[in-house]
Amino acid sequence: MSIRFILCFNKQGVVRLIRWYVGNESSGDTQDVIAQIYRLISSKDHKRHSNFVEFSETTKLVYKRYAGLYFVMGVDLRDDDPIYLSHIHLFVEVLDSFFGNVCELDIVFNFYKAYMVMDEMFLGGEIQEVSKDVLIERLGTLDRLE
Amino acid sequence: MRDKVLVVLEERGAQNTRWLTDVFGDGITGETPIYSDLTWTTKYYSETFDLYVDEYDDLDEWIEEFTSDDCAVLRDALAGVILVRTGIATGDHHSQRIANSLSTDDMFLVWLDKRESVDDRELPLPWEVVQLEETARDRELNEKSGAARLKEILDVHTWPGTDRLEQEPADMDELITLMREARLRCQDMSDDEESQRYAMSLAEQIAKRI
Repeated sequence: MSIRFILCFNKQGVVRLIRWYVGNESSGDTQDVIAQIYRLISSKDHKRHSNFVEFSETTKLVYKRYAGLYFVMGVDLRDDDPIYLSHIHLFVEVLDSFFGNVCELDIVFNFYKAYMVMDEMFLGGEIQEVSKDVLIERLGTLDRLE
Repeated sequence: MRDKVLVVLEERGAQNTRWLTDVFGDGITGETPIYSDLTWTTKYYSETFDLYVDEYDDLDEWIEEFTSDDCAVLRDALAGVILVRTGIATGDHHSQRIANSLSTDDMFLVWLDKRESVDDRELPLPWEVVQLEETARDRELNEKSGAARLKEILDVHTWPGTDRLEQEPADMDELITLMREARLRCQDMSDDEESQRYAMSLAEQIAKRI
């Protein structure tokens, strides 16, 4: 299993998107885990600190901040960090193209579409498609079906 | 209902309140203490709120009054507080005192700082430090500051009225009865085209209700 979870929250710690690909292996409640992740990431200076941080014995976090939102992936400790950073960037780029200059409000009021984008890109903790053009075309077709 | 926004200024004056007009619209200059029935409009919702503008000479004294029992009704009606200040002293207690007097679960608290460079983590939650002036680095990183960031904060705030976006749940018994009657009526129609049109029209009505 590569990606354990994908999480998106704002600067206030309000979760906007979350998808678990494995069960919560820690002893804590899911909300506690999210709170720990938020405290860990929000305390870092995103302009000077690394985008990678060890979270638990099995998981490390790869994260990036875009405007007021943090996008976080929990990945296996043995996995390669930078590739997941590029996955996050691709996800944000696709969201931006799909919504047209995406903002937090778009994700709040169209969370089901944001999940549609996420599920088109990631399945079972693995990335399925890396071509932005292919993704945009597929998502456009799915969106028209609604 | 929490539909009041309180702005607390260091001092009034056009040069200090241009951002008020940028955020809340023309005519909002901060000269008047209360602006009623303003509308906050986004592409997904619009919400009516009141804007209160106050100022302080001594922040300690202002906080003393704000946290007193006399202002309890005001505090219960606030959706958010925007405090304008220059700098944050080490071990600042002002922000803590204000936050402690409020039920901050569904509120926004913004420390609008006039310094040239701020760190939005300088104060603990629920405060957010926002730099008043936009900088070149902010533009480069797509980070918003000043009026643009304030607008973002208000956009994503859970206003009481946004719950009204959900419709009343449809009465399923009524819908099923309606569909049964419609089926009987369609069966009685001799003209297929008319029957088809009636069915489509009914389908649209039902779709809107659910």
